[in-house]
Amino acid sequence: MARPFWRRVLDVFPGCLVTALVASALANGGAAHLVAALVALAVAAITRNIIVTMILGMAAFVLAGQFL
Amino acid sequence: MRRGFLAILPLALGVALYGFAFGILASEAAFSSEGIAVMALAVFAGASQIAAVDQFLSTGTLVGAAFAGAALNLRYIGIVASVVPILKGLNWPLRLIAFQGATDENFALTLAARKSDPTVGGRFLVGTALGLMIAWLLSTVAGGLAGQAIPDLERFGIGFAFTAAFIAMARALWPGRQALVPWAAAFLGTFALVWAGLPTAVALVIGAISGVIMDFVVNPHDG
Repeated sequence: MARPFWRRVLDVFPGCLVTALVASALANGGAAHLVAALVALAVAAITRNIIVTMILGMAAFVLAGQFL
Repeated sequence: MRRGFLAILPLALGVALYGFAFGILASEAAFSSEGIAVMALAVFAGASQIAAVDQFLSTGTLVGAAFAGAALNLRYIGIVASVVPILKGLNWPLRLIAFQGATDENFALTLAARKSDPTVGGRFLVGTALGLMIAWLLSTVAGGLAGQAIPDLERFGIGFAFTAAFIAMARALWPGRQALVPWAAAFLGTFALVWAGLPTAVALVIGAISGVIMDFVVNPHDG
């Protein structure tokens, strides 16, 4: 069953906006943001846990910042 | 109502952890404890509050914050609509609590409990809503106070906290392969526009909308 037009827009928009939020943060950030984002993406894909993703992503950001 | 309140407690613990993290972030954005408390009850939505605080920090405008927060909670139009039939027989103050306090977590719990026990209804949902609201209010304010007490959060990588939260949200929102092209369009479009020097808020809106348009282009047969 196809969804009504506005229902579909409402379904699709939040995911696109969150992706856009990540993109804008990376475009405004440096190399450390990029490395940490890849780590966070891997952690999020495996654990699906927002707290674990935040903690390990931030740890990766600190570490990457010291080397880059 | 008490049954709902007790049933949501294990979930409320997880919510409290998230709330604590949000409180720290909000205090980093110079939100006062009172401001955090008001936002916790008035918005009562983790992802929206994070997006709103992030936009407030990066664009400095309330419009951007309100837009980002509201956009992330569009799905609640659907949730609240499906809550309405369960609320038959409740007076209006309880209905308001149910409307404001309905989230993914307690709505799913109420529907699951209702399957095995048909007497579960609106009062159960109100109980779960109260449990979550109390956990969210206390944990976000506690996080805010902790954030104010700890100096120099930058060394813990707080500068990446919002981005990490958005990545985790994206994982939770991922609907499957049909989103690959739309999300890639939103990502690349926003990245390129920010790179080109457009204001972040404008780049976000154009990028996200181009993602939605791409969804209609590459998935013409919605189903």
